[in-house]
Amino acid sequence: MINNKKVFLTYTLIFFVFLTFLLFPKYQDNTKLYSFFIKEKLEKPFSFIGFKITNFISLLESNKENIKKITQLETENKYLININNYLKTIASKYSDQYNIFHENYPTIPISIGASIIGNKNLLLNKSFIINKGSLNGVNIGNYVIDGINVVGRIKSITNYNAEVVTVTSNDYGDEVFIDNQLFIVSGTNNNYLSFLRQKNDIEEISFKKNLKVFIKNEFVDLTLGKIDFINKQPVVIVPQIIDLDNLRVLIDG
Amino acid sequence: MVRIFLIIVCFLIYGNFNYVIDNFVIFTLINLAFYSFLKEKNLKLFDFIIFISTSYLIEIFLGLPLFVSVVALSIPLLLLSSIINNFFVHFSIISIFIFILSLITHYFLQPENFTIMKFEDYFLYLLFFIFLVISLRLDGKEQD
Repeated sequence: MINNKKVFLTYTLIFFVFLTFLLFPKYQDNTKLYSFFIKEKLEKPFSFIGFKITNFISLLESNKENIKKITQLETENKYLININNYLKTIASKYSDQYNIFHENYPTIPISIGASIIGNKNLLLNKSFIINKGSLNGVNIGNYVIDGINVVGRIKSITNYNAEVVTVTSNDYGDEVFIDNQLFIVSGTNNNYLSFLRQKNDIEEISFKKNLKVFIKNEFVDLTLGKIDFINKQPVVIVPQIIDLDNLRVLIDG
Repeated sequence: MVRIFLIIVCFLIYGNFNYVIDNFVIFTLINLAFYSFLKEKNLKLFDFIIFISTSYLIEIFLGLPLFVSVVALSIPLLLLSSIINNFFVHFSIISIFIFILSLITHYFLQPENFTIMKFEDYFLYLLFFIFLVISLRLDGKEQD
């Protein structure tokens, strides 16, 4: 049956190795461990190449997806450019009308957003501190608006902060326009401003109720409030609701 | 050389892919072992070493005691080889025999895999049968 002596000898050797492993399981475990160690070492270059290939394939796939996204974004961008051009055309009509009436194109004042970092509830006095200062381009006297109405003016500044005196504070005083007439008003620490006098005039002041009170700025007219009467005395009522979370400082006014 | 290359490939592949590939690796090694032992009437040392190495890998992968299959299966397989190879049986019948023997062995080694496998998976096993037929035919031509 077995013509080959070498085969028989090998079988005998394997038989004794098997017996050794059976009697001393530690050697068997060590042999298995070494086998897996060799397997791991041999696998390393292949797994490295495999990792590189999978990485390359995933990159290619992500590249394809990105190209698709770019083309989508490009078409979206074209669409938005078209809308923008359309809106520009509409806005140009308004600009041209403005040019006819005012002999110049409308200019938009530069403003920066600010948020209150101190005395938000206006408890101590009618002023608060904002997080923008001289390094942001804020200067003393700049108007602070809440989008629609004047909230106050910059009273003092540091590099990074500024103190804003609100229009209702008795520290506040300003020149206002009512029916193209110039007046001087002052805060009263209440929700209205009182008239001091008409500028360059000593005549008595006479108004109608709900007349709008403007502050002339370099570029735009800022709304301060409306005329009302308290004890038959004319006052400027400021809006009750002031949006202190949406403040902007007009830095070029 | 082809068998040595296959053994190395199986050694590297096992455990790096899913259970289906691992199954095929084990089945390949079983086939290689039986093929090496049963392909000729007179067992050569090279074939015997391949049988030892394939069975060693199966034992390592499945956690069986080392060299148990060499010790336990060598004598019955020698008897089987003498029975098969003493009759002038066509190589395709021998390959069917080796294939069925491998399948039975595989079933006894990993019966849980056969419960997981789908019907289509069994068709893939036929690939081994085809390779067995081809290898036996080529081996016969070499001997001629």
